[in-house]
Amino acid sequence: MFRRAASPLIGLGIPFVAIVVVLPFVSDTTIRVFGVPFLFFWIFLWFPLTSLCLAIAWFCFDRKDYDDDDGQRR
Amino acid sequence: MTIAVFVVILALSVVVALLSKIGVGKVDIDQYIVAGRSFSGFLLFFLSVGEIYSIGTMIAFPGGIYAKGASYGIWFLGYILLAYPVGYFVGPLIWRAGKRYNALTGPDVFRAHFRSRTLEVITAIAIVFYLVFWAQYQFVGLEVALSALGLPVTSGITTIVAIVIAFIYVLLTGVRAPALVSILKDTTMILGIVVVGVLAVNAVHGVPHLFDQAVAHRASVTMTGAPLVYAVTTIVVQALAFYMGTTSTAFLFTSRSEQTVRRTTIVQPLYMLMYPFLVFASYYSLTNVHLNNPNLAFTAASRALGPGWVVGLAAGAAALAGVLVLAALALTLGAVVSRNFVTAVAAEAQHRWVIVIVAVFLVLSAFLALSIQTLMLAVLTFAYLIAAQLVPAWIAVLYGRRVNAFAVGAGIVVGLAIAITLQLTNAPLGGVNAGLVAMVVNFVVMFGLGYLMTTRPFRKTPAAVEVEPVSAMGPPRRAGSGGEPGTSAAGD
Repeated sequence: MFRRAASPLIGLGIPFVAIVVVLPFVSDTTIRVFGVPFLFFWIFLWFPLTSLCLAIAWFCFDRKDYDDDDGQRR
Repeated sequence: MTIAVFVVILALSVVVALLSKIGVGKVDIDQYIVAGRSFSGFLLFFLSVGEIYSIGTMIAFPGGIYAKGASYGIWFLGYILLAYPVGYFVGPLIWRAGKRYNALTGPDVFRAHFRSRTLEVITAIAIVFYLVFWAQYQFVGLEVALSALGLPVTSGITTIVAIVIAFIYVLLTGVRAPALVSILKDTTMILGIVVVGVLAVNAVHGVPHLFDQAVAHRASVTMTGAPLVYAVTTIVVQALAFYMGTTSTAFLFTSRSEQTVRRTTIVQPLYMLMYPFLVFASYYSLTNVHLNNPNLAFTAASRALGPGWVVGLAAGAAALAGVLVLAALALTLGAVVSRNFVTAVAAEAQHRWVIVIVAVFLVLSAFLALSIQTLMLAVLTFAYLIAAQLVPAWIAVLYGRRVNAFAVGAGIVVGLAIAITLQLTNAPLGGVNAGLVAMVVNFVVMFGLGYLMTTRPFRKTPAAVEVEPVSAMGPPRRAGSGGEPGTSAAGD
């Protein structure tokens, strides 16, 4: 049960929360990181982090469902 | 030098398209439209990025920041980024549905899954409608990219050249050519963007100075109020529509397996790391170059900052992106018209039909594009407004059990009517994206009718539920496409 919910929570839930829920709270600040306005910094940051979330979903949970490179689902 | 680099890039692309013919035997309709469901992760990645990072990235995105500030940049980045997690989960199921019904187009899936010719036609109309806007988007961008070259010819002539090149891609090997040309296009595009971005940062002595200037110029680098609401709601609706409504849906069918689809989406967000350079170039233009047409923001930065070869590289990459996407979308359109509108066409003749339809479509949409002048992101919004109305239908195919063809069709018709009305009347929604409102109503109508129409029990096997492969159960019950192994295996 945990496994079934974990993959969507990590792969889909975390990136959506970061962009749809958190972003409005950081969208009107004058803080800058490395000279970049925080709003842009935040979304740039989530390019690699979204890949990371999906990689975790795949390597820790979903890959088990598949046999091999070209194979069908089990 | 500018023109030489530009011409070399486009000529190379035709050579690459020719190479795509090597090793491919007789090209039948399956090979032509979905490459026989054979693409590896590598080719699927390039076909996807080739399609996603269209001319919009180099022309419309900087234009949006130039004209409207941070909020337009943020929603553009946000919806593409979130499309990948959505694709990771629904993409494999869409691929599975395509394989189960032997589908080459989205409407093929709807016809077979819901056993409804009417629904096939409704979805086909919605897709054609969407494709017309998507083609506009590319043509407007192409004009901008070509104008950067300062050629002594009219935009009509350059547009005709673009059409001819797009047609050559499609004519040769169908979907294989755009996939291979994408490799060239994305290499030149990243190179062009990074070079111009770095030059922009250098010209103003560093990133902090770039944004100091922007703030001093009263350029928007934050967002709040209605623009914020608009950005967030647009991100949500377009991220959903991306894999469930646009041309990206059909390109999933070219994959060789479900896990290829999944693994491709994992690395996709990393490709977006080129966008910071575009943001830098956009803010450079915003503060240093005065433009009447905001769509010129990126090409103007390349002209202001770089030598001739940089301008040629940037314009060449942008033009290649536009031509490539035109080729791919015209192919999708050709498949939808020849398979889903005209039913009397034999499978062997569909290939020829596609070629003719592609040619007619390219010419007609070029004429339309030459007569309009608008902010490109406004066209993008309209295209997605329409594409989003297919999201509930796809959800029904992938996960629904009780929804029938009538409920799905009613949802789409109501959704389209609301979306277009709200958009055209500029209805006050406090910034909420009209497509999102329409999509929610679409969902309510679809699931509501599906629930109410219990007098006709209707059980489907959603794509999310596995069924035995057809081969394990003997030959399919009906010859050709549209067989539905799912109904007997589950449900009753």
